[in-house]
Amino acid sequence: MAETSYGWAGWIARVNLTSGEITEESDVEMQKDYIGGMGFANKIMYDEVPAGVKWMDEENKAVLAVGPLTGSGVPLAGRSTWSTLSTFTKDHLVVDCHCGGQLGATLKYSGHDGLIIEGKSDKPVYILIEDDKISIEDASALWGKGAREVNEALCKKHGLECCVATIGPAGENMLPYACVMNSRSHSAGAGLGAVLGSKKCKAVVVKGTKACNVADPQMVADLSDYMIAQVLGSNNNHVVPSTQQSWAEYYDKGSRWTARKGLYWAAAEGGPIETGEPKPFEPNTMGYRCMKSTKDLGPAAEKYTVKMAGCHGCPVRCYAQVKVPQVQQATGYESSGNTCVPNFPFTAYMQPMWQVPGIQEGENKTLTDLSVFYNQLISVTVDDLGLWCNYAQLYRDLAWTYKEGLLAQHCTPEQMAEYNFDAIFAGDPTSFIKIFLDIASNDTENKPISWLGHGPYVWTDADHWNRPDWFDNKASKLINYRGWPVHHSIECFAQVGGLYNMVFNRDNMIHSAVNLQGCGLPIELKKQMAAEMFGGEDAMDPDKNYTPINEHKIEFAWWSIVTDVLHDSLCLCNWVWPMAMAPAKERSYRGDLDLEAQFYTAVTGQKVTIDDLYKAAERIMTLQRVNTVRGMTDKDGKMGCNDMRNVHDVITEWVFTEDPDIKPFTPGTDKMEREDWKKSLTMFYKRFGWDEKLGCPTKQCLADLGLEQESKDLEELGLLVDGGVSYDERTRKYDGLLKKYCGDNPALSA
Amino acid sequence: MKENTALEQVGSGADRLDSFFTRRGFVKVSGAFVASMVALGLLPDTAAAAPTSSKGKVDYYATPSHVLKVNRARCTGCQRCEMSCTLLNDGVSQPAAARIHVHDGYQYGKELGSGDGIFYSCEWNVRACHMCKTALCQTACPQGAIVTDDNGVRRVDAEKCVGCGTCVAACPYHMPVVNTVTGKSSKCIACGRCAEQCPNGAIELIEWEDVSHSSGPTKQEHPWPLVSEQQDFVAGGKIA
Repeated sequence: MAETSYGWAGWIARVNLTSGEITEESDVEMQKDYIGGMGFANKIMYDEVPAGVKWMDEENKAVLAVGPLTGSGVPLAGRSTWSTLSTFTKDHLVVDCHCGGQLGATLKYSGHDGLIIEGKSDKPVYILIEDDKISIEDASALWGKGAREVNEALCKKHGLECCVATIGPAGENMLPYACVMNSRSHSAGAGLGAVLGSKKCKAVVVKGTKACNVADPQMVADLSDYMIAQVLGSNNNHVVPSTQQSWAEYYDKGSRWTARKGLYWAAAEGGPIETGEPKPFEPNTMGYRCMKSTKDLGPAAEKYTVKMAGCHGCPVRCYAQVKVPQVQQATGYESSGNTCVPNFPFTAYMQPMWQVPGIQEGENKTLTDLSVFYNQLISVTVDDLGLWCNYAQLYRDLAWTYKEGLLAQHCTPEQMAEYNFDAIFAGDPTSFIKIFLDIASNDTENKPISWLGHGPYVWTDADHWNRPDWFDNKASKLINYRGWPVHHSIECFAQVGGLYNMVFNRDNMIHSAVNLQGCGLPIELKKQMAAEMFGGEDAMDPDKNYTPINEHKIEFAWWSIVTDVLHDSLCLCNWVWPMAMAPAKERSYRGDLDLEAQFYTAVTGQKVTIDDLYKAAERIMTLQRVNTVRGMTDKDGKMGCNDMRNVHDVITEWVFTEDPDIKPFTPGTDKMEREDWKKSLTMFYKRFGWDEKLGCPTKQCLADLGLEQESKDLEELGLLVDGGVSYDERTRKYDGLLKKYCGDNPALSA
Repeated sequence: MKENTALEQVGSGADRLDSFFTRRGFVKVSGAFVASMVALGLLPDTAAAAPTSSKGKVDYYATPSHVLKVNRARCTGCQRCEMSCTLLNDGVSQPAAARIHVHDGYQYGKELGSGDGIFYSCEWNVRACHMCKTALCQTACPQGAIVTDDNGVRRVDAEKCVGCGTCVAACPYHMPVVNTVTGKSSKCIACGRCAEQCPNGAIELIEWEDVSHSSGPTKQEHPWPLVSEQQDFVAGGKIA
């Protein structure tokens, strides 16, 4: 019998839809260097999908992977990562498509750390994983169905405990903005649904009864208890309540710690349940801290709130669970709710441009009952269609193209009548169903509105609607000309947010920095924390009052990226992790940056420090960067380009031109300054060991990270550059940095 | 820990009654003995209703000290109870082998059409061992592998268990599970770890009481129609 594998299941399944071949392979060789999740998936994509492959080609793959902490009992370890080729950003390079829900944990319990889907089927199929038994099944009866119906049909057939990850009509139609849905409202985006659609793979169904072996189960439990009692806050690790409460020294109205006396899960079975005043050191009230329905949907949503829920294994519970009668009437779906964009697609992204009457009321522009209907109607529709939004870009684009008259210009009058914007502006959102059905159709010839589902890189270009100016319009929130929008950008610590918005081939989904920004602690305290973590108080600026770039901001940007990549590889939720701050006054609100390493050690039995893990994350980030260099086209359209600075990491113009009456570095603006931005990139590249002029990985950094093969590959392509600061010279030590605040940490006394 | 095989207490008289009625004691007695005890008012009716075991004997046990009480309206479906249970009791994280069950009803409730689960009512059942006074899992076990400890709690003796699943079938709530990895059954021992870390206080470890009729609804009285049976609901709209 094989040696017990702790943390990792040890096996990755490979399903070839062309040949029908199903195999399993060991991942032991990858574990130390690539951890799991994003690391595994990127390694496989790099090794197996050559540059130049198009996203809809048979040679493209979709790689799902989880990490050693997935399903292990570690808090907030319910996420999973897919990698594939982007369907909607320039050059269609490698992207990560994260999702929560039940998929990651269920896959682990089936005895797998990953699933590689390759080839193409000629008829609709789904992949069924029941522990060791893996098969390709006929999906013809499911083709054309929405995500809810598919989930139900497959659970009916294979067991109600199955996790179904499915594409909807958008994926079948190979719409670039298609996603993969699991557990009703958890979505893996970035076009993954279109890739599965191109492979005629309707769904992946997973049932798992096995164990995630844990080397030190008592330590996993003890560390979890410690973390939940005093280190973990609410959603986004906000650590103060949103209202004044007797127990709390601070409060902040923006906080997602929204529980308070008099606020109820009003539609709970058996009568309203009060969220009350959950406090630190109360593990049994943790799940009430984040009242996400009223936070996102306004006070009218309280009466529809049954409870909160969320991903597997997470005590934070950030997912609203509401039953809105108008939505039930219009769509036939009883429940809805989300935690991110699909919870508030109308009010946060369309209403600012449209100002529909009746959506907000009073001086404070409070969201109305009607607004709940608008938001949740769109939510259930797009989730059922498996339609992704490019972090809200679809909604901004729809609102703007309507307002600019572009829709009327490109769609027929009959179509405009069906879309019935007049009704939408008059209080009836039901024609949104038709709008999103047509977008999901991907019938660009007959339903031009579906171009919006190809992303702004496509629809704004000269061959389509010819409005490249949209990228330079601040209202677009587009941050990179390759086609992705901000995901907490310059408004979040200026250069820090700007920098980490450049590195991937899609929006970044990094929350390490924005969580510190929004955690609710006063800026003076946060600056002290920044000095401890990043070497200087000047790592952090107050909102809209920022200073020129400095090495501590660069360190903060580097840390934001490596923690995010680490979490996507372990897999932990970077929407809350890392534990940089805490709600307990007793520990001076300091977090515990060693927890990832301590959990890793307890689960896998392999001793590591946080610095080891950050290095692995840097390796994974740099590997993706190499993959991008290999496949990116230069200004002449030639594939293979290492000028990341001028071709890839190009921030949109509006960041330099907004607030025309205010100068950069003065209060009231987050406007960037051009020379400062150039300098920021230079210092940032240096921190990663990348070339300071070009921003591409160097021979030195590839050697430091053990990426020898990648170094050779770049050399052969003529894309390898010398130079780069050595790892030891550029690396700050994080191990034990906050130790003096962590006296209760059980791993320290073990 | 005492085993479920001793017969020396059968008919052993008043000197045994003390331990008989304490939560820590147990006896194994004949059906006739139990019937007479019931008739004398010394035992509740449920004891006499217990089925006979394959050896023609009836097991009757004094009440366990504790039981889990659940409130499903408070459950947010994180399933940390299942992981915590198995980390403590099995040394692994394995929800499918947990002694408390949430994940199997999370999506659709106890059965498709119950009107429950995140796709419908947003309620689902937190299924926990009822700690029956007359434990059918135990009486049915052909191996005598479910033993009673000093707290009146039945636990599975892994040495004796052959994983036949009789206990699962015998339990009116199908609470025990046969672990697919170890091939052994497991059942709740009222350790309370699940309750200790439930983020919503939906589970409580309480002094024993009869929870079989007190745990509230287990499905919807008027379930919402199933999506898969309403073919006009395609992609979020009533598209006929």
